[in-house]
Amino acid sequence: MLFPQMILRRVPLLGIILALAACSKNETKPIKEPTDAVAATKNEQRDSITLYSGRSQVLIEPLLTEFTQRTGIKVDVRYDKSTQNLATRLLSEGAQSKADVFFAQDSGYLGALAKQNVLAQLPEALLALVPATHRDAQGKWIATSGRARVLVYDPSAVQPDDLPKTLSELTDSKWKDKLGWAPGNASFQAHVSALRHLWGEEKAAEWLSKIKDLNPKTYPKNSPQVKGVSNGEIQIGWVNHYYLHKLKAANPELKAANYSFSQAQDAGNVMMLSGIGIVSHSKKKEAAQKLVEHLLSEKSQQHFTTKIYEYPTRTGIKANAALPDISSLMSHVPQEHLADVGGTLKMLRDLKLQ
Amino acid sequence: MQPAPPAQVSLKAFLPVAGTWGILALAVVPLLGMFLALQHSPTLFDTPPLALTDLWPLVGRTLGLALLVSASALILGTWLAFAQVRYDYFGNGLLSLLSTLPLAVPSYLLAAIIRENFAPRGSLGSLLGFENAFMGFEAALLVLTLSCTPYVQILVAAALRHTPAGPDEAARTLGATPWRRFVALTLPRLRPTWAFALVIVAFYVISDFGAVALLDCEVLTWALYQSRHAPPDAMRIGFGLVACTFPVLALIRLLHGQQQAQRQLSEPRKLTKEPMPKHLLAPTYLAHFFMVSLGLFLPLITICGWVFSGLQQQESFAQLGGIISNTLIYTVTGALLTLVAALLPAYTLARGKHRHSGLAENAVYATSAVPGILIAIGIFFLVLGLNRWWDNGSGVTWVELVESAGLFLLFGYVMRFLSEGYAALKPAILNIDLRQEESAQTLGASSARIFQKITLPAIKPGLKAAYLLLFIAIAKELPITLMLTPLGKQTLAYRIFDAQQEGVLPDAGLAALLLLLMALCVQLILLNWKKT
Repeated sequence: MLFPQMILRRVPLLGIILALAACSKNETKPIKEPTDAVAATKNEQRDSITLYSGRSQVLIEPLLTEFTQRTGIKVDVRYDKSTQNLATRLLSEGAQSKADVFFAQDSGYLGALAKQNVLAQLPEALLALVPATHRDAQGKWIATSGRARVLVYDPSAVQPDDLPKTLSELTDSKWKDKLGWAPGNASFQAHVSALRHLWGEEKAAEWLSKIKDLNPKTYPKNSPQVKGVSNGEIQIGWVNHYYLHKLKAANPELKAANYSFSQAQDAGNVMMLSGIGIVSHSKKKEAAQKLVEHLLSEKSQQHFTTKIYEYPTRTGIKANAALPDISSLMSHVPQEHLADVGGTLKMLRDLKLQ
Repeated sequence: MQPAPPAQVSLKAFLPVAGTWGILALAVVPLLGMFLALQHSPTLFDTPPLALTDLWPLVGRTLGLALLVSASALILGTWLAFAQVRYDYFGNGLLSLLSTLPLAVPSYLLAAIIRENFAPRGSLGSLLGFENAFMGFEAALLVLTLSCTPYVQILVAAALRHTPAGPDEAARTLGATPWRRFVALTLPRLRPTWAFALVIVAFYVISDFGAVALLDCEVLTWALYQSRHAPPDAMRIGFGLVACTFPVLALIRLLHGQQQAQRQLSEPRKLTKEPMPKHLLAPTYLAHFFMVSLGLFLPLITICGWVFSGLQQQESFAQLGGIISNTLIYTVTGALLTLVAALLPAYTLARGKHRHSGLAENAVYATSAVPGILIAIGIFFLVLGLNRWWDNGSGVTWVELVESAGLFLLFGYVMRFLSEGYAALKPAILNIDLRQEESAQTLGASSARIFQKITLPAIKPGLKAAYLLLFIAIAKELPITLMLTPLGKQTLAYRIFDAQQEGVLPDAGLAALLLLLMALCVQLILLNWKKT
């Protein structure tokens, strides 16, 4: 019986761990009780829904906690950083799935799931909250926030005037060994899907091939590219805009800046949407809909833009003052083209980028 | 001596062997699930399959990385363990403990930190005048060596503590130099332990997922990361990974040699530590410096910097109480179950020569080469299959109950880390003094009493080392945890990964600090256990 005694003797050490955790500030504290809050009854407390989230826990947990406190509906979440994995899982589970709501980092997967009838039709009133460009044409999913595709560059090595005016110009040989990209990343793939639509298959493949010839450094994700720019690994990365703001919030000394192509409607200026849909097999569609409504509420939309530095999708919500107004520069790509991830993966594999 | 009744003997011999094969049969369960995945997995997109011609270069690089990391970890870990157990030098205890702590740093986190600090403008990169990103094969070699050396150090130190003092003292009296004594006496005794350490290190490298992805080192698991959404590709890559195990298994056999029969015939008198010769001090401190500075202090300083900058910028931290308790529950239970599951094959295969013992041992080792993501996919599809088969429309099935209790997750851990437990336990079992057991048996002691009084104390250091290794490995584990954790439960490993990937560094730093603290607590508990 020595081992249990030893454990007991070390309980204070384990206590330190728990105390440290307890001392940490509570991020999940609600932002503020909304004025139209419905007091949760004991009966409602027993309600729960299951959310499959490709969006990170660190990003959305406060919103879910607030939802539970406001409505009394508990949200059980299965997180997976890879929306691909989660979407494949949902498809594989079929009618057995416990998921009521699917929250995707990238709309391409929502489109693919909608095509396979995994998602249910959303009410018109809900869909009307966002512009037509920010929802599924069939009304099966709706965007909650957006991330602009940008270049992140090193201001101490490159002047903004020297940066390419269009995405096509990024193939200039002066950028050899100075670029970074993340072909395994879902946003990268969605942007390639957009290029295939905007430029056509041949030009998109040619552009990728030329960039490949510039020997770009490959990163698994976007945020390491921003750090790579700041650390002097690369001069330019191809990322979503919001990583820079989040990293700068923790480290204002970060040596990196974002850049949107100056030519209006350039293929490099594309908005990537995160979105949400209700699973067609769900037996709790009413509660699921409440969650979708919550994420599109003015308050949640403010959270997306002020805390996460994303562009809100709901009409009439102002973006964070730190974010440039790039709406006039944006190219608009119909969502069904972003959902053609299969064709993009084939192109990337043919070019040995996968 | 009166011979035992034949029926009793055969039953005694049969049960452990049957149990061993029973446990190994469980390893087939995820494979069955993987087969189901191939048969029934619906795909979101039609993508062209990965060509076999693209696979073989990846197999070559994977093997190359595994062998180089194994060689460097074996050399470095053995030296650190030898210095720790045999020599008296300033700071030995503390430095030896600190040198094992890089084990608690997840390799994907270490990779990110090393890459960041060795970048041209990173703290070390600027100091060393680096002009290019520190990435690729060499960077993976460094990171994985730092991650794997502690495994070797812990296992070899446990084996060296059991080395009898007599032969070494005799050789010293006869004027043999420390090097001569090391080569002639210690090395042959270490061969089985090295073989087991090689199992852990080589298969750790073959199945490592995060570090190679972060460092852009093109190996099989890197390709798996790129095409993880397509089960057919994942299976092809799994086939490549299994192909990698054969040369490693051959090397393990070669390294192991015929040493498995070498046993203690009496309780060994422990070697007393001698002062370290002056010319060995510099390389020893250098080895400690390498491990402690790059494997522990650099990550520690970096993650403390993340937490500090969060405090400075008045960032709010996430509440981690629930995540810590989940981590503790799954890790403590998972390590215990894996230890128990590994004990039976280790005990059976170490205690007697069986007809298929070589095959059984290879089967144990092969379980380690399957990356966690494939085991997770296998179990996941099996759960789906069972649910489909069992569901009679009456509501919650037993499969769902088992899933919500986290039993499939624990099963995944057992399958993933079975060989690590086995490799840590078998050398300890080989060291049991058989004569003591036989004497006790002759005096009429029951099997249970023999196990409690003789066997258990003898294998205690091995059990301790095995539990420590398993605890830390499970605490860091990501792919199985991600896929099989019950709904709504997260662990520290996931939190670190999630926050670090999202660039929320203060949260990542706090979670990483807590994971390190947990590993340190377990180290201290086990050290204390040994002393008592």
